[in-house]
Amino acid sequence: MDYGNTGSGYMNASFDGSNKTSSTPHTRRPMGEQTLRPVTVKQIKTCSIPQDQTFKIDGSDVTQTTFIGVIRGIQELQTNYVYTIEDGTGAIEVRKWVETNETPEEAEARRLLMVDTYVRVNGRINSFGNRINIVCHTMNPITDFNEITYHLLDTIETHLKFAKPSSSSAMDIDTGSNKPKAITDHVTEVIEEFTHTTEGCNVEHIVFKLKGKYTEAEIRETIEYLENEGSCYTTIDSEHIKSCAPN
Amino acid sequence: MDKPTPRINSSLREKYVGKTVRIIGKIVSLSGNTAVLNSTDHGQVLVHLNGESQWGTDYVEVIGQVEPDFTLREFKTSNLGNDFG
Repeated sequence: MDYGNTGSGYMNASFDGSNKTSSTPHTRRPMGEQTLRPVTVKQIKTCSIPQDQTFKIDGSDVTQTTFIGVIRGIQELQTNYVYTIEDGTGAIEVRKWVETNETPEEAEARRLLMVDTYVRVNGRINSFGNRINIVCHTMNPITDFNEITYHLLDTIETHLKFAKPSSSSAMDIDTGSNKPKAITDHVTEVIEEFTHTTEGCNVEHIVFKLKGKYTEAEIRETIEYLENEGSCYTTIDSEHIKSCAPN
Repeated sequence: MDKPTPRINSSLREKYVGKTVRIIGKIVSLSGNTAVLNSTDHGQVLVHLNGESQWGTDYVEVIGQVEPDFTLREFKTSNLGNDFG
C-alpha cells in the first residue's frame, strides 16, 4: 500500500501539487497532516478538533489513521456502506464508498467483511455534525491474528512518542560523533570571526590560530566536515571559508 | 457496544469482577457448556459458554463477564487461528 510508510521521502514527493487522497477539493494541507497513524477507536473519538476538518491526537495533526476492530454492524445504503466497528476501547462508524460499477473482485472482497470479523481499517477522520466517523478507503479482514497484538503495541509506541517529548538522542543525528566536539567549536569560532568580510576566513589563518591545539590535517578535516554539514561554505576559492550561522 | 472491554489475563480477573472483559487464550479443554483456556500469563480460566458461538481454532478471544467465582460467562467468541503469539 503506497501510503503505509510515513518516511520523509514519500511526504516530500506528495506535498507538491494536489492532495490526491481526498475526493473533495481541499486547500493544501500542511505536511503534518499527511501521516498515517495507528490509533485506537478511543483515541479517534477523543481527538481534539481545533478547527473544522483538522484533528489532533496527542497534540499532533492527524488525518489518515489505521486501526483494527471487529465489525459489529453493517448498514447498506445506496452509495456506501456504514460499518460499526468496535475494538475494545469503543465503537465507531466507518463509511466505505462503493463504486457504481463494482468489479467482481471488489464484490468478492466486500463479501468477506461480515459481522464479527476482525478487520484492518485504513481511513481518514471525518466529523459530521457532532459525531466523528471514519471514511475508509481500505478495509481488509485480518488473516494473521498476531496483527492485533502488533497493532496495539504500535499504537502504544506511537502514543508514547508523541506524548512524551523525546529528550534522548533517539531522534538526534550525530554524524560526526567520532570527532571530538571541541575542535568543531573552535574552528567555527574562528570562522565566525570573519563573518563580516565578503571572502570570509582564510584556512591558513585558522590553522595558524589553532596551531597549538590541532594539526593542520585535523583542521582541514574539520572544515570539510563542517562544509558537508552545511554550517560553512567556501567563497572566492577553496581556501576561504564563511560561516552560515546568522550573525 | 460502546463500553470499553479491557483485555486481561487470568491474574487480572479479580480486578474486573462483574465487568465485561476480553480474554485471549489457548483452548485446553472444551466440553459441553464449559471450556478451559490457558491465558497469556499461563493461568487457566474457566469459561461458561453460552451455547451459540463456534469454537473452531486453538486460540480464541472470549468477550464475557467475570463472575464472582472468577469464571467467565461468555457473550461472544472470536476464533484467532492456530498460530498466535
